[in-house]
Amino acid sequence: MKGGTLLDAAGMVFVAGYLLLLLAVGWWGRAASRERSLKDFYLAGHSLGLPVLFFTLYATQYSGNNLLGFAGAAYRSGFGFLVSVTFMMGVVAVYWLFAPGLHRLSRSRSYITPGDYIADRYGSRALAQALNLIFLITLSTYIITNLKAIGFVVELATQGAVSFSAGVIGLALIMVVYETLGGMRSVAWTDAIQGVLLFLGGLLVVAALGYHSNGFVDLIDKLKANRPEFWQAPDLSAQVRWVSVMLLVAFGAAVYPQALQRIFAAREAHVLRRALQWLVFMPLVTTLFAVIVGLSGAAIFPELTKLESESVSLRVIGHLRLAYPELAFLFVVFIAAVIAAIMSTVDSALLTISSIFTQDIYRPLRPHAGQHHLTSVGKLFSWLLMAGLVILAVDLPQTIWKLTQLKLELLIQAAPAILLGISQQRPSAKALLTGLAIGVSISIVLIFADDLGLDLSPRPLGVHAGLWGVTSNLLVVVAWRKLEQSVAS
Amino acid sequence: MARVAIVILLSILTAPFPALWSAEPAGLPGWVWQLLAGAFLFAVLVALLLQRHWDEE
Repeated sequence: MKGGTLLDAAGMVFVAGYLLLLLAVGWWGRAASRERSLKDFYLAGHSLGLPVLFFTLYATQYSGNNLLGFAGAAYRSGFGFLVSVTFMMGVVAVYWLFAPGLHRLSRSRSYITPGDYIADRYGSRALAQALNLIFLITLSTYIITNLKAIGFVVELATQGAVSFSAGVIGLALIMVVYETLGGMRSVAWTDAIQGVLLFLGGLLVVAALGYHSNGFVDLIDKLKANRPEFWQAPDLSAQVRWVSVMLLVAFGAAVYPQALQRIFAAREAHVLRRALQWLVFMPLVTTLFAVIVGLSGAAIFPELTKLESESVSLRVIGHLRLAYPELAFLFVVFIAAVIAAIMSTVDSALLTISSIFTQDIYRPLRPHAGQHHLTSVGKLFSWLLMAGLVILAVDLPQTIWKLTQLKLELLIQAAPAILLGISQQRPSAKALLTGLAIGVSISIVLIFADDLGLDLSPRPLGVHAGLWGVTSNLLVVVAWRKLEQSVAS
Repeated sequence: MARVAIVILLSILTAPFPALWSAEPAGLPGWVWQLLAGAFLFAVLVALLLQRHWDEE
């Protein structure tokens, strides 16, 4: 890569110090725990106040994909990828639809997992387990892709001094250690550190870019000369694609189970409300920055291949590092921010899977098990799961890679059950299960139409498969409800 | 349902409408400025909705 090693000896010391700090915070989280119970371990005993809740929501919502993948997408798509700024805000808009009711119910009914909520509201363990299956598939593949990204970043930033496998294994080990030390409390507190780094990393790089390019004027001129197609006005198909991706991400990402558990963990309703009010502005200083970095990369390095464009942020930093060697340390912060963004996403997803296994799968099998025993089982499961996911991340089978493409398209099928669950007039579990089965089937068939030998577009009329799936899902739920009402009357 | 409709409508309104803009302020297409302003307004509106219509029922 141009610009030489991004992490020199001083940079590695900084990152090592940051990683040690995470372990110290993990230990602190353990020391602060009030009791050995699932509620304390997985929800920090409902103790998350405003700063920690805000940062854990922020750091969990923004994965490494925001700093790496989004910049790459902006490099390839141009200004149209500003949709990423709005769809991250759209996620908070969808929280507005159900977070107040969900928080109230979680406190009055003592939910630990989203499965508790579903089973309680619809009186159906089958529906809860069907949603858990979706959550487990999406979260596992999410962790695997993020672990792959972290290995890739470490290897690239150290110019191979730390190999891909060593990066994945080492950082996975650190995450599972601090996660099992203090559960949600440790994860949320480390998220706070990671959130600050994430914010600072983007800010520093964009500030350096602005300074380097005469307030972006030079970059805009260069971009127009190198990529004039970015100036073309979007047509109707681009507008449809915009709305489609906006709705897919807003409704899909809002029902990530780790986000739902943060709603449960908020200390008070007004704390949650204020955290969401702050969160809705964060795309302007995170996602927008990633888009600016990607567009700057398109101006500076116009000839990158698709694969090379995935690391455009790191290339831009390498370029700035060459221009300003005295600011090298600032760019170390960006690398630390990328690592932090990935770790904060992986640790939250890992904790949530562990809670689903312990509360929704293991506990019904051992109904008389004590809280101490259940917490220990959850910790042991975290270690085993992380080991398995690390192996898959290092050598990912093609079948699992295919599953990663389904993440939001599958997740959005859970949205009707989650959103309607707060309502007094809920549909029946049977209606939701049928709708879910049809929605998932339609999404899978459309996405894998090519592999199945079907002559179907994965995005009919420019609309994502997941949206066709969830529309059918909802129509089935409504029709089933009407049928039930007419039979009852 | 009304709230879902509000979120969907706001989402549609954030889309680019290039026909409305012909000028290129600061060298960027008018519709890019529309997207940026739209994103900011969207955030403000959602923050206001959270403030004014936080219903737990």
